[in-house]
Amino acid sequence: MNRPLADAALAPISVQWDADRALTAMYGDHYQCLVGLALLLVQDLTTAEDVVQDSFVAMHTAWRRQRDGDEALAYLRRSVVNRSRSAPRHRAVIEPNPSPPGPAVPGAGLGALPSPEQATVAGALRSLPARQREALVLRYYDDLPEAQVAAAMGVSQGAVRRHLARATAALQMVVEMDQ
Amino acid sequence: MSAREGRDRHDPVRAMPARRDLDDVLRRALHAAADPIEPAGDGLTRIMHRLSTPSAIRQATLLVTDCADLARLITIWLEPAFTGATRLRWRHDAGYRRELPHQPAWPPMRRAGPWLRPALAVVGAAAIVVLAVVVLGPVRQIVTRTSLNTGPGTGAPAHAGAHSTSGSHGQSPTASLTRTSPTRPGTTSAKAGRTSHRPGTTPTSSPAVTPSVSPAASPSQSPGVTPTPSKTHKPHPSKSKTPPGHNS
Repeated sequence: MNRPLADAALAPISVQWDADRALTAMYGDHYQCLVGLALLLVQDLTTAEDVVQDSFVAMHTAWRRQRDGDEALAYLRRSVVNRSRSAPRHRAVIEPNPSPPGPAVPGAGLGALPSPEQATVAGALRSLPARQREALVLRYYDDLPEAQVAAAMGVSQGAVRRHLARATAALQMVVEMDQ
Repeated sequence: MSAREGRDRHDPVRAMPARRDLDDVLRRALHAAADPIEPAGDGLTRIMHRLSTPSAIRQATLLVTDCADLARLITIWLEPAFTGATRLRWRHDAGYRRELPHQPAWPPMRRAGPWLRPALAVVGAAAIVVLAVVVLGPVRQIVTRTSLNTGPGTGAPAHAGAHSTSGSHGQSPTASLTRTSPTRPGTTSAKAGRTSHRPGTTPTSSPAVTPSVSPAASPSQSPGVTPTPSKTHKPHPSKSKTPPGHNS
């Protein structure tokens, strides 16, 4: 259940699938990974779940345009990234003065990390610009190649390389300073 | 060119393991952060619930909410202007009364208070919003229906799926789709006409495929049923008919 998106073997897609069955199957295979991806981007589990559920609804609506499971998964991933980008903006509009986040729930989000080094990296990840964070999460959490990262982010591969280089440089600096 | 890449060039022997270490740390940190999460178990139910709500109602609700927010924002933005205008008016009235002391007092409507004009503006804005909702809702619905009916894809699967999810959650697609197929007689007959000309379509596969996939997709997907029992989805030349801008 809990496997990276790139490693998750897609079940053979039958042409007899309709949108409902496709949605159910993709939910079983990828829901948790997509929630993890959204959580790393929006830093809030409820928002992450909303984002992923909206993405599934969008995929269902656009199912006739999907050719196969791979394409549907790419659509889902792109949708999650886009919605994760706009979710904080929406939250800022409806809640101009958000309450400070509560204490970290063990085992959820970036607050509960086993080693100090990982906690440092997680803290640095939060401070990165959104695009760099997206590139890092897609590259290192989903283990996607640069081309798929670029497709998910809607940018060129060169831009992805740039984002990754800047992000890793920033993280490297933080880790070295911490040591 | 980043500082990191510059360092790699200067000392590649040292930099490569460091880079690999950082990659590993990153991977571990991200997985440690995201893997233990347990999403709520009712995710699929919530998705199906969202899908079962008719899109017209959903869009109308969104439109109303957005219009209400917009009206509130407009009121907030215009409040200083209203206040300023009211003050100016009262100053002008006071000066006018000083110049003409024998002039009778203003009629009660004009002395109603400084709240009258903002209130009227708010009422006017609300009326505009309601009018817009009343007029734009049906127009939008008509446009959506027209595009669905005229387009080659016609959006049948999404519509059929949306309705089939409401009541028949665990049913087979064939059952749900045989229920929906009579609602679009023109589409179904057109599809049936197309599929009947195909030599390779077996009678067992076409009822399941034809209603579920849109007419644009059915010619490209149906041939894959009979010759390939392995159920793998092969690319087909007719897929190039898919609109190029299908990415979100």
